Amino acid sequence: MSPHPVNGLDDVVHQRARLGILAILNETTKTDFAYLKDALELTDGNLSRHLTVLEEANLIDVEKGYEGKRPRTWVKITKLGKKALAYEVEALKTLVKRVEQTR
Amino acid sequence: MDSARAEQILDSLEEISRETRRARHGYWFPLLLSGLIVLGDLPFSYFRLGHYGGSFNSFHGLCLCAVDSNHPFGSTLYWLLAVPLGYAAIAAYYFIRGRRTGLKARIWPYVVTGIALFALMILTATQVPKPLRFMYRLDNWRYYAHFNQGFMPVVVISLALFVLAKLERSKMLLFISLVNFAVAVLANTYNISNVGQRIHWIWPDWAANLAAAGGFLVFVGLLSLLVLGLGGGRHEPAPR
Repeated sequence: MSPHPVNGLDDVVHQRARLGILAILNETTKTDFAYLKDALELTDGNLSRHLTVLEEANLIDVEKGYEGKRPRTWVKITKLGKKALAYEVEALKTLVKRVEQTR
Repeated sequence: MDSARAEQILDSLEEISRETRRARHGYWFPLLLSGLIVLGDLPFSYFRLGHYGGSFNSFHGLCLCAVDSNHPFGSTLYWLLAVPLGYAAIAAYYFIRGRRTGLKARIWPYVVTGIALFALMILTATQVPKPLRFMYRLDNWRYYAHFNQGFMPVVVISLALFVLAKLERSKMLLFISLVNFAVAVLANTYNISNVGQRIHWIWPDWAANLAAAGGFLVFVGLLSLLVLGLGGGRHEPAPR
């Protein structure tokens, strides 16, 4: 018997906000911290925590710098992050398909 | 996790990806600028700028065409300056837009392709010494020889747009690029003024061809601007 697709879901990626972060980053080369915060309706602290988890798992790169006197943080998805997102989406699709087949 | 929840997450992801792509799209600018660059050749051709008297046919500048044609030198110089400067302006626009919207996207493959194709096109021109001329051996290739209107920069611009469509991941831009390519080929191979004559709208051949190619790009550029907006405005969060 094949393993249940739920087993394919990665705990680091699967969290809803983190999936959203990876989905946005997958569409750009670099995304601003403020854009992610606005788009996902997260607080600064909440977004920072999610980014730290993703960065520690090597799924994203965070670049902190300044533009003039204003601090600005850019976030970039890594190759591993792209793979993890694709794998997660595939696992979710498999789960949906499997349930539809058993109906 | 149940399938309804999984389906909901997949829908949300699709929605948020689509929203991001839409917020990132800035292709109205290259379309509009390219169109204006094409139309910008009209006065150079009309006033024959850079044509130093004598028989018009006896003096060509570096005609940007595959077979001998009668294009004024000023027009050639215009293309040689306008196309690279246009690509530089597009690169600058995307850079500034990326900083303003907080969404940076790759643009250099489009710019490099456009400039490389333009350089390749110069090497096909009839006035380039034969050893350097890229298409010399293919001069008799009958399909290529039909490109005798001297508007090869229009084809170069249209080909590079396919790269932009891929970078922007936009099916709409891909469709626009396909139609634009057809218009560009038509402008290089057919006297579009023939169509105008049927409705008693008499234009010189070159003017009708330039106006059709440039006018189409300006039209779709303005239409895209209306649909996409200038960008950099407040982003509407995707429903969650």
